[in-house]
Amino acid sequence: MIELDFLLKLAILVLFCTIFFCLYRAVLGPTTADRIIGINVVGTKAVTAFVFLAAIFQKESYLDIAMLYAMLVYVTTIAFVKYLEQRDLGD
Amino acid sequence: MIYLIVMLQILAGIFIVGGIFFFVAATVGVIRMPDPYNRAHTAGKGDSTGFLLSLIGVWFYWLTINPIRSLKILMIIIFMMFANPIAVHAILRFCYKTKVPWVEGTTMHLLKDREKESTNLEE
Repeated sequence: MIELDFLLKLAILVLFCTIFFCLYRAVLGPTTADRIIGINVVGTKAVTAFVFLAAIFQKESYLDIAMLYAMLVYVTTIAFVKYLEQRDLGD
Repeated sequence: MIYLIVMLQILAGIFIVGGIFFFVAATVGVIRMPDPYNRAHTAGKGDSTGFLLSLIGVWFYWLTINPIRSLKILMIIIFMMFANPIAVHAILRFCYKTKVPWVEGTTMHLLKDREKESTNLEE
């Protein structure tokens, strides 16, 4: 139990380092698609970090936040891409 | 019973380490790849696999604490399993439709024949 807690904390640390490196691509990306890819990757990693936090603190209400954030990242990516491709969000 | 709990926790550790490995690989790809198509390819595959493995590991961990409430993690897994590849596919479609240039030395262009048909249809 204790060792797995330590592993989860280490995993969150590594995840935040990789989020920092992906933000580099999201800020300095040469094209618009690079920025959208960076934001998508950062969102997925943030959801994973939320689930790890829920396992560390043993609170299942964090899982609701993770679920909501996953939906938000998906809708954000689809909306950005659809708007930039068609200049119109449709319905 | 105690053997089952220990087995599940060891499995959880292995799955979480595998997921973090895939996340790091996806990050290296996103930083180092030369053009948006390769970056989206690495991000999609590495991120989806890392997310799946990490959450399956955490699900094993939750099974030892509270088996019924761990079903929420299964909902997140099933949602992201469909959502993440669809999002990356939409990004790649956006790249192709807006004619983002690809890197020098790309040899395969499987949609070359269909390109004229689609432009004709749109007109």
